Amino acid sequence: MLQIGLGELKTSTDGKGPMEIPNIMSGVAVIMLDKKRGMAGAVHVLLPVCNSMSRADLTKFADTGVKLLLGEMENQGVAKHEITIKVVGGSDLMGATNFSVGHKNVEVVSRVLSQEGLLVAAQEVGGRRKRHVIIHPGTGRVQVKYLLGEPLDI
Amino acid sequence: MPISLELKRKIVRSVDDLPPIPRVVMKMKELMMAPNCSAKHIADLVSQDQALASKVLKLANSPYFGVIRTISSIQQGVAFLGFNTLHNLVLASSLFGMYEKELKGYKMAKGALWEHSIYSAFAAQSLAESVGNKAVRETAFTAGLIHDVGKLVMSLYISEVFQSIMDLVERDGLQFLEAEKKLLGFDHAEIGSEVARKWRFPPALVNAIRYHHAPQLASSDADLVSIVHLSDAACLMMGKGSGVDGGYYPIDGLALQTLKMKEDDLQKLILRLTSSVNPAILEV
Ligand SMILES: [Fe+2]
Ligand SMILES: [Fe+2]
Repeated sequence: MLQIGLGELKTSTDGKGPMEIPNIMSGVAVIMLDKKRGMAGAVHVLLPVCNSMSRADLTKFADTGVKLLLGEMENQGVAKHEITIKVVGGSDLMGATNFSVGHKNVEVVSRVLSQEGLLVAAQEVGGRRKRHVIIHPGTGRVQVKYLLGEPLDI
Repeated sequence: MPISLELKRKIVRSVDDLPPIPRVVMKMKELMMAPNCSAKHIADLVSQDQALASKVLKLANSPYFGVIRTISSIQQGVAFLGFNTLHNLVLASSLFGMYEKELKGYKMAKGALWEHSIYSAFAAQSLAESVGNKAVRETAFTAGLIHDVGKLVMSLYISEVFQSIMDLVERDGLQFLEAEKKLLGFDHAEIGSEVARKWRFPPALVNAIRYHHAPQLASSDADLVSIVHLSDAACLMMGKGSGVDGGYYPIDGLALQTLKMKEDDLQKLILRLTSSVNPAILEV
């Protein structure tokens, strides 16, 4: 299965079959699907706003990561209005709210998407649990798994 | 229901069931503390242990350290890595066998504790380099590495009361640590500090483990304790080897103040960790 690690961006043309995004905690997985053509792209960002000068870091931040993913989808010939978006992740630890990187990540992802005129079709965000995501580009099915309890389709 | 004395005794006895740190690793630390210790002294010790000697050569020649020429003698390897790095690496690889196991009680898959501990160790070292004094810089890696050692002991007992622990955490809003303590009489930080004592680690390390989830309770070694607390938190936020307990620990903002760090510095630490850690190098 094609694995997307922390801070990585990949599209389904990089490999065949389902894609997996493991260990999503405060990071957020932004998934873009083209259901008509059965392709998908995703990025697993881990920090809210980019303050790095390094190109390699752009896919690690919510603001730059979302824009790069969108650009990559468009490069593959997908029109904006054909994209279905699903968002997963953004858990936080207990305690001081000013450390809620997870919450901030989700906020920035939503803000940038809406600036781009894009709607989120489904999301499974927040809370304290770690998530694993399996994407089936052919059908557009996105499965969220937890360390405990039943998986969820969004 | 009060916790039976028998259970508490059983848990304490399990601490003794953990294998000891290899003698040569402790001996190495002793030698390094001596004022006139040279690379030759350390190399002589390392050479007495065939397995350790080949480990040191492998590490010194790892591309991770950016060596250009081949290091072929132990003494060269010792000099190249430096005492502190050498000790860190040797300690880490001596823990690998114990640490790569699955911890069912915490729903940590095989390799998760190892990954979490290595990331925490590098995080602690990185923080210590910018905020710590010499003593803190020299112990931070080890402190990060062993902060969750108590989980090795507690996992089994947690499995036995797992549903009750999750009820306390999810329904009643307790921290995972509090739920451990409530149902088993000990938490993994307490038990971990017992392990560190048994392994004859210095008091600062015992404290760092004891208070890694509650740095405000430590009465000494505030810097090291705060460093380990924030390193752990960063790794949990990154999902690095975290188990079902991972989200149920508080992050203490005062730890940042103790270290004179800003909130943004925690994000910077997380960013550094994404590109500077390679857990595989120590699996030798
Ligand atoms: Fe812990
Ligand atoms: Fe930890």
